[in-house]
Amino acid sequence: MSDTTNLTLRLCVLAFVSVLVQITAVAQVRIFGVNADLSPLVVAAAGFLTGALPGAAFGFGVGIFVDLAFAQTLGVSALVYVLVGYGAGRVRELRAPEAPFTPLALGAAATAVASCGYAVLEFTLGVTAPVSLLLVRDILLTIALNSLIAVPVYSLVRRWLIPALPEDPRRRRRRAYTTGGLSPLSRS
Amino acid sequence: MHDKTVRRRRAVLALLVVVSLILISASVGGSGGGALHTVQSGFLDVLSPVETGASKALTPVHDLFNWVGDVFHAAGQRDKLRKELAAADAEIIALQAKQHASIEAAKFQHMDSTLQLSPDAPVQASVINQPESLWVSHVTINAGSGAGVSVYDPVIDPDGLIGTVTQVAPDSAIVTLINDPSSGVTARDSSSREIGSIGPQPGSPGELVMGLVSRPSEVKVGDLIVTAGERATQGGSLFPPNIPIGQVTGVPAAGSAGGSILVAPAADLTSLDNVQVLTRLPGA
Repeated sequence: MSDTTNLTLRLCVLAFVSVLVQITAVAQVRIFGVNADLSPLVVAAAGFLTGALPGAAFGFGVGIFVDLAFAQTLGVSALVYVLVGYGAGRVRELRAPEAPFTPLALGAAATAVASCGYAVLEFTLGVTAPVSLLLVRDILLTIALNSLIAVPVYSLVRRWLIPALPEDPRRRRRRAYTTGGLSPLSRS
Repeated sequence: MHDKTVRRRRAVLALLVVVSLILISASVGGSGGGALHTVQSGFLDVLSPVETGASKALTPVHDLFNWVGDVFHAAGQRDKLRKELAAADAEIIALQAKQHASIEAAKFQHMDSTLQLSPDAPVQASVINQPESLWVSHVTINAGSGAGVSVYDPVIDPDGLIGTVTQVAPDSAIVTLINDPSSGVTARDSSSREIGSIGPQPGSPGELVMGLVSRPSEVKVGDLIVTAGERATQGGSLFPPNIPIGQVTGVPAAGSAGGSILVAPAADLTSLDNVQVLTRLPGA
């Protein structure tokens, strides 16, 4: 099985499982009056690890899945998550941040973009909800809550996708430095 | 090669955005909306069993999270209820204070009308300082010379006589209580009409002693002791007659030469609140 097929399969499984967990467990747990939202975290993590193009495609798929599962206006979440996945991928391609808090900042930014983008689109589509302090409070609390779980979610996504990812040149360089250019297995 | 990659990436992004917008338009608008809703409901039909199964499997997980949430919620409720309880307590205290004040006012009114103290121009006052000490037998009240209070004015509370004004300031006065060693009140046994002088019982601030009684054997336990309406000392306070002072709790044994007549004060001298100063006594 080629790396691309493997990655595609893993992304499909990831999308299905993450949305399922979101629907069945996370959406039913309210902390400080709000729900955590796994989808932007998973999309951003996948986009960050795989790149802008796969990230956008993955975001589109997760968005369609979310819209279908939650019986929402079809395409709204897809559009938002396309931008989240693409943006996360571009961050990796342009900046390649390696700071320890990168997953946390990425999760917070992805949640902020997703929440605000979703709200803007819904208002544009004519949802008659007031722009109240309650909405702002909910968005801020969701961002805070998602920031708390961003690091473990990123770790899980990374662990799931890394076998299908092309080897990172920096990782390859580090291994070459520590093992003298050879895998420990090949040396023995 | 790089340009090709960039163009491809941008094209795919644009394609995904356009597809999303088409889906939104179709979903919101009329054309194609029915088909999309059919797809959506079909998807939900397929997903429902999976969702139900996963929901059951993950029940312990979201029960755990809900339990954590409930704990925080309960803590918030506890704090809110504590605040409500504190507010209710404050309200109860205020109501009880009002009730106490109105009961005392009624008692004062009753005493004033019974003893005809109205001509004595009673001035209402509150005790603002009552030292908690065995060695101190005076209190400070919040009425002074500005209210017509002067030295030697008798002071009563709803239960009876409590003392005499000994120092006066414009807005306050010091009242020396009847259990102070310097105090002396001419008193009468309301039953036998025997006259004596009420003073403190040394070493027992909660008791009084009635001395200088010519026929102590006439005084019985349970007799009420009231003011006699005469000066105890030259230039001292003139108390209106028949203000309750206390009740006899002990008398000397029959035939004994010594012994004291013990009197329990009618007023609780350790817990004074609202008092009246009798400011305009005839002949004072």
